[in-house]
Amino acid sequence: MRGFKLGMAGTGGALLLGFMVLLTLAGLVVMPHDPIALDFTQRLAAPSAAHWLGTDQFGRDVLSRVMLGGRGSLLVASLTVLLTVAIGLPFGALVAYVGGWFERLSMTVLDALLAFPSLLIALGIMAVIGPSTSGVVMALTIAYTPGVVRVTRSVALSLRETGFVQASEVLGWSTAHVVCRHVIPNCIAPIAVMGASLFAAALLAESALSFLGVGLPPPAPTWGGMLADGRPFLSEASWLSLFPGLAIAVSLLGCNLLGDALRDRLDPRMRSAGGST
Amino acid sequence: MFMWGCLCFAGPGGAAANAEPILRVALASDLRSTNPGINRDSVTDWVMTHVVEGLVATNAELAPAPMLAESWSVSDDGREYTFRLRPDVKFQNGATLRAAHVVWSWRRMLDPQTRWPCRSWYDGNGDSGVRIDAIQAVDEHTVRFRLREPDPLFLYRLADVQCHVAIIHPESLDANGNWRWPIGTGPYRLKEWRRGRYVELERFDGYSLAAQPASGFAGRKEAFVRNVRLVVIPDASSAKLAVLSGEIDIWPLTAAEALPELRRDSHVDLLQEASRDWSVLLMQNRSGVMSNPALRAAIASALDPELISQSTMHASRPLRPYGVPAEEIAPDILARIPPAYQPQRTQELLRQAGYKGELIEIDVSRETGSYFNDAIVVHALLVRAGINARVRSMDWATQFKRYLGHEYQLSLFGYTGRATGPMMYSVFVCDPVKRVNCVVHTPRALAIMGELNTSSPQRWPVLMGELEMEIAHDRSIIGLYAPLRITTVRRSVVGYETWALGMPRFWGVRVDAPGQTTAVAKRLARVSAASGQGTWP
Amino acid sequence: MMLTFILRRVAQGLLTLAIAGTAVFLLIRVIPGDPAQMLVGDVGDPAMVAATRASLGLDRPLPEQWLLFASDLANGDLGTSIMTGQQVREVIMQAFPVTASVVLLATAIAALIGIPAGMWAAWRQGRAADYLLVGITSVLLSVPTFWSGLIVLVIFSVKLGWLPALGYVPLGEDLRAGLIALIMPVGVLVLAELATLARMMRSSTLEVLRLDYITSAQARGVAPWAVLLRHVFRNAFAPTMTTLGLMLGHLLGGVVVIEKIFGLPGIGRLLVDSIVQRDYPIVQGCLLFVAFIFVIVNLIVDLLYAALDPRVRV
Repeated sequence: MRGFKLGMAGTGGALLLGFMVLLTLAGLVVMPHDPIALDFTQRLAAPSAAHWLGTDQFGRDVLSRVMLGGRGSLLVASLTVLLTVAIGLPFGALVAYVGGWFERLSMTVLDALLAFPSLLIALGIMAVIGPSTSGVVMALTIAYTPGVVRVTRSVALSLRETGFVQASEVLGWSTAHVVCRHVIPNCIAPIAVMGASLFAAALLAESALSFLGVGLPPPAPTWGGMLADGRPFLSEASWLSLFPGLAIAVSLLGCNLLGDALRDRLDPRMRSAGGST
Repeated sequence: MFMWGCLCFAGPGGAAANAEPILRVALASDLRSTNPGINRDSVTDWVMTHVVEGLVATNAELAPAPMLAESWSVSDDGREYTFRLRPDVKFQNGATLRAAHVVWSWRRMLDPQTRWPCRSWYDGNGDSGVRIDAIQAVDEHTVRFRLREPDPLFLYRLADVQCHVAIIHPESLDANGNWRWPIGTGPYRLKEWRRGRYVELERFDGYSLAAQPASGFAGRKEAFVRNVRLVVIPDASSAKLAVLSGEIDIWPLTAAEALPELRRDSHVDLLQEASRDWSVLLMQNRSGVMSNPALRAAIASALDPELISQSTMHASRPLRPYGVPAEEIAPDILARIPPAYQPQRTQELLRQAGYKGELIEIDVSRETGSYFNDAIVVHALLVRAGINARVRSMDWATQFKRYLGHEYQLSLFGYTGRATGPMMYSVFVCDPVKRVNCVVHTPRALAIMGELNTSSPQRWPVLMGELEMEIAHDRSIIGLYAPLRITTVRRSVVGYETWALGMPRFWGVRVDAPGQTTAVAKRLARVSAASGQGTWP
Repeated sequence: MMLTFILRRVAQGLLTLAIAGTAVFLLIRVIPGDPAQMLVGDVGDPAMVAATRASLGLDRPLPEQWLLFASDLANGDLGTSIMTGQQVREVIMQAFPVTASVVLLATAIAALIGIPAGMWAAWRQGRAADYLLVGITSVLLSVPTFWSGLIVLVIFSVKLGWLPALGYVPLGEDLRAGLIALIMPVGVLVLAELATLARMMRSSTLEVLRLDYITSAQARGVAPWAVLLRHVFRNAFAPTMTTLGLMLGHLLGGVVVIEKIFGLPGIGRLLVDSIVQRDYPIVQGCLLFVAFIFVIVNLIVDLLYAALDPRVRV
């Protein structure tokens, strides 16, 4: 295997995302202010030396909250992607490999789930299990998994027709063995690419849920929730929306650039067709 | 009542200058139905008061005042009320109001088939209220109600807004008795309802004006504006922009977050007043850790109501520790009620309660912005006091179910203001055997409540004082503040006023037509004004 | 056979709808909260709530409720709203055109701009035009619509006064006013869709560009636009079309945030409001309808796909 190069855009993407992750991690160690303590004497204070990114309507430091908010947002987004892939990938491969009635039944059920807008599914599920990090993650996972299963299945289907999987069948290997050793590894590239866009979608969906009033409960903020809460103060305290918005935009931009680069690198068809670089 | 700026009467030309201006009002949510009293919420209530009327109505002093009945008499034993109807009152379909219509409307509401939520006020099965034995038309213009026993609150109940019995024409129903469309006697008729978009009211030209001056929901309700269009705008930020751009003339229940921007705009006035509504923190008293009264007292001692009342920026809400404004309660008793907030005692109280860091959840619904803000402050105060608190946000239907099922530990909640103290207290002081929404139900509280429900108004201040004393001992309800009702009114609107119950009324209101016809010129003016204001980041 | 393919897809679609309907029926009943309580209000009269629940049929066992729902559905009856008593079919037929007009307009515009832009960026891969497109679409993808919607409202409605902030007018009622009212919501939705479509088209074009016959066509000296139009577009558009279909199917199910900001009485807002009010029949009917639209749109896309690429039919 050649050296893992991401190219300029990909490196830039990794740097942007890395910066946001670092900022969030730094928050675990030190934060300029207590992000939850209220200070009614400092409400909606503009950015200054004391509060670099200003304060919100409760006098809480926006920088500290952006740092703390990253924890919630990045956690929700990455857990959602991880779970979605962890469930969707093996299941999709299995479905494609086993085929027959099992495949038809599973795909019909998943199509039924896919038929609803993911935001609405998330909204309904949040209403059932209540707003919490695990609630949001579960809701988004249920909403996104059918898509991952579909993609994995289509990749796996094309693999099933290729020689080596058939050969392994002849050799009498178990289904589990074939799925784990051959089908899943070949699905990783397209799923990695999909993961980047799922990450972005999860960040935004969490934000839209906050806007609709079913986001994560306070006091721990998320970027999306901060953005939604800052909306009424757009004209008098634009920093309330600007900085969490920027945090989302930078993470997403990093994520998208990284996803593009990953696709260019990992997609086997591209590798064979594109040849060099 | 507070008022910023002034209502400017110096509009060029006056009201009749242009062809029939229209008054446009923002509605945060659509009507529940057009069936007054049966399928309702607060918005439906006040929209429908323009269309239908009852025998009596609440006036500005919150007392029952003549509406369709021009006068009444009460028999010596207090069990017989005889109402004399105003002659020449017309329904919106042209029919003349007769006593038979009143009897029909009332029988319809009291029929169990109609499923009127307030029926227990009059069927003798409720924990308060009285049984109506008979309603009869004495002659064409006289109606008599016979009660099982005397009820000093009877007229107040008749005037109540939430449980109003509207006198409607039978043609409001179809042949099968199903609801069709309200045909009432109000100054406006319901012209059109485009669900999710708008409700349009049209002046009822055959309206017969009462003789008394307009007061509250009663008196001379003279409609000047021909058409009132109530536009459904669910998003508060959008409503703010609509009132700033002149597409909306009145924004009732203005969101406090919009205040700074609205204050800077020279085209709007802001009317602000404390309502009779009551924002509270409910504390569980039946099960779990919260059933320990000492813990409730400890939590109450940590909550600084001053800070909570300031949770919404730009609007300072008056503290309201009691179910009714303090002026209505006997002052000598009030002086003896211990304050809930005693931060220096919190730790001692927590020790007494044997609190060992159990998780305490605060129920709050995000649908109304200010409760959510309150939750953030309450949470911060509890955490500072060393209590392991967590905010549990949910939608209203869930919070409401948890409230009725007493599944909450702490719940940020609000009660709509009632015209009288007894009616207000009976919402939450009641016998849990009879009703599921009772919060305070100590034997002493129930005894005082029973007395309050059957006493004359002169006794109310003392009884309410004793009740508040008991509520203070029980600590299952902490009074926080009286929510503000802020109304944004464009200066082209003349004669719009708020009042003690805070519900909008569009009779007596005029619109300066030029305010609407020269929208382009106004917009140009605003662009130049805005560029100098630097409001845009 | 084309006909067998269609029949099989229709049967599959019906099965999908049956499962979706049952899932919705169960989900809405699992959500805490009681429509009868919501209807009666804070009166605390248990008898009244019980009577209301009985009159709504909510006191019956779940299987019985489901059978009623299913048999009504088979007769084309979606039931009546608990809160307003209106026919659910009627409510949906009022709300859907609102959403449809916004979504169809926006998708058409986004496709007309996004697809050529994506192809162009792929053609110029690694050059300024490509980076510009990737940069712009990344930013567009990071802005939530509830935020861009508000900014657009502030600029065009309040600061400039060019467009009305609210007041949906059906296109059939007044075409001109209707279109004016749609400009901002459609614009905001275009921004969101454009980025997805352009990126999809860019990546699928990139794949096609690397295929041998394209390289050979280029080597033969065929003009770039001709290569793009004749050879690349047909092959690169197929995967984008699937994305477009999924996107359209989902958007037609309601653009909740945009509908809320611009006061559009569309199907997304109807759904969210009905979930909040626990209006079971509306939630069931609406979601079933949304799933139906999704199935239809994807059926059409699959058929088009099959028409574009005959191999799929096998």
